[in-house]
Parts: sequence; structure tokens; C-alpha cells
Amino acid sequence: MVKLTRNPIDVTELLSEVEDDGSGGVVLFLGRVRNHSNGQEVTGLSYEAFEEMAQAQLLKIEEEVRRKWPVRAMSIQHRFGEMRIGDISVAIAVACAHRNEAFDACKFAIDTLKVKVPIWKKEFREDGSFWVEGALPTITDKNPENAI
Amino acid sequence: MRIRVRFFAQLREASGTDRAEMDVPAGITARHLAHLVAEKFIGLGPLLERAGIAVNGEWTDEEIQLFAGDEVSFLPPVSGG
Repeated sequence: MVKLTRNPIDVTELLSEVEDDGSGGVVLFLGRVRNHSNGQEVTGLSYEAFEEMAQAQLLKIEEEVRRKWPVRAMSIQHRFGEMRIGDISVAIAVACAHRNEAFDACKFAIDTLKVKVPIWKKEFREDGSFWVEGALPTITDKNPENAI
Repeated sequence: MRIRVRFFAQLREASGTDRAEMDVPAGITARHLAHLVAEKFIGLGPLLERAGIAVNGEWTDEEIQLFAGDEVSFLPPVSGG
């Protein structure tokens, strides 16, 4: 399941969503607001989301992960809005029978999220506020039906 | 034809709006629309050049042909996570 929320992410709740007696390995990734960026002190962050599209892209990531790995349960949550240092901005939990597939699946999920999900962060620093420019997906599917 | 345009993050701040409606020649591509947007909103050019494009909520490339009523979003390189 996926969730895009303005509220703090509850990691205990997230882990309860992937509870499964057949899973011997659960990998949890947490993305946190860091207090520095490129050598500059960061005092806070604001995340903006293209909500409808971000939600759809998160679902696509879950579908793709489930196609590639034998995932028994998974949950992705991304928070947006104002955040403070140490706040959790993203959390991904993946449960599989064995640890290797859970690690691989979770890494793929966060790496893909950082390229495809339309969310942007603005850093607040001593010298002002700055949008962080990350990545764009490579468009390989040129079938126009996907865009109509 | 009428096209709906959406801006986010840097593009939203630089354009001063998150949405616009534009009358554009029928059958134009997203690339052509980006040029028209850059003419209408002065100063957006460099940001548009670095932006990705989504049509009706799906990532696409700039050569895609647009149709009346399409929602075209100009998306700066994403930085979630």
C-alpha cells in the first residue's frame, strides 16, 4: 500500500502493515531531514507534491517491485509540507521470505521514487531558501496512449 | 485548442501561478507548448529547459502531440525522498 500525507509518518503503524508470518526478512528504509546540504547548514525543509500524480507513481512503483521480487507485503509512505530536522520524510517497508530479496526490492523502491515521484524539496538555510533539483526519469515508453 | 498548464515548485514560484489555460494551435507538441509558455511567462525559459513533462499525470517526452483539454505539467527535476 502507498500513502502520501501531510502528517508525521508513524513507523510502528507502517511496520504493522507488513506483518506477515511467511516473511523472514523485513527491510525498512527511512529518509530523514538532514541538517546539512553541500556543506551548508540546513534549518528546515518544505516538500511540495503534485499529489494526484505522486500517488499514482507510488502505486506504480509498488506494482513494479511486486513484479520483480517475491514481495509478501510492502508499504510506502511519503510525507509533504513543512518538516523539521530529523523528521521522517519517506518510509518504505518490504517483507519477503528471505532478506536478500527484501533488501534489493527496498533499494529499487527508494531509488525509483527519487527519480519518478513528482515531489520537490526546498531547503531553508542561513543564506536563504533553495529548491533542490534532483533527477528526471528517462522516457523509454513513447506509446502516446499512455499520455492521453 | 485549449490546454491546461500546471506549474510546480520553482516553476510555480517563478510564474507566480500554479495553473494556466492557454489557447494554442491544434496538434502542437509539448515542446512547442513549452516555447509558448516561455513567451507568456517571462523568465521561465531556463527552468522549462531543465523541466520534465507530464501529460494528464503521466511522464512523457516533449515530442508528444497534444489534444484539446490535455493537462500539461512542467515538472522540475524531482527531489523527493
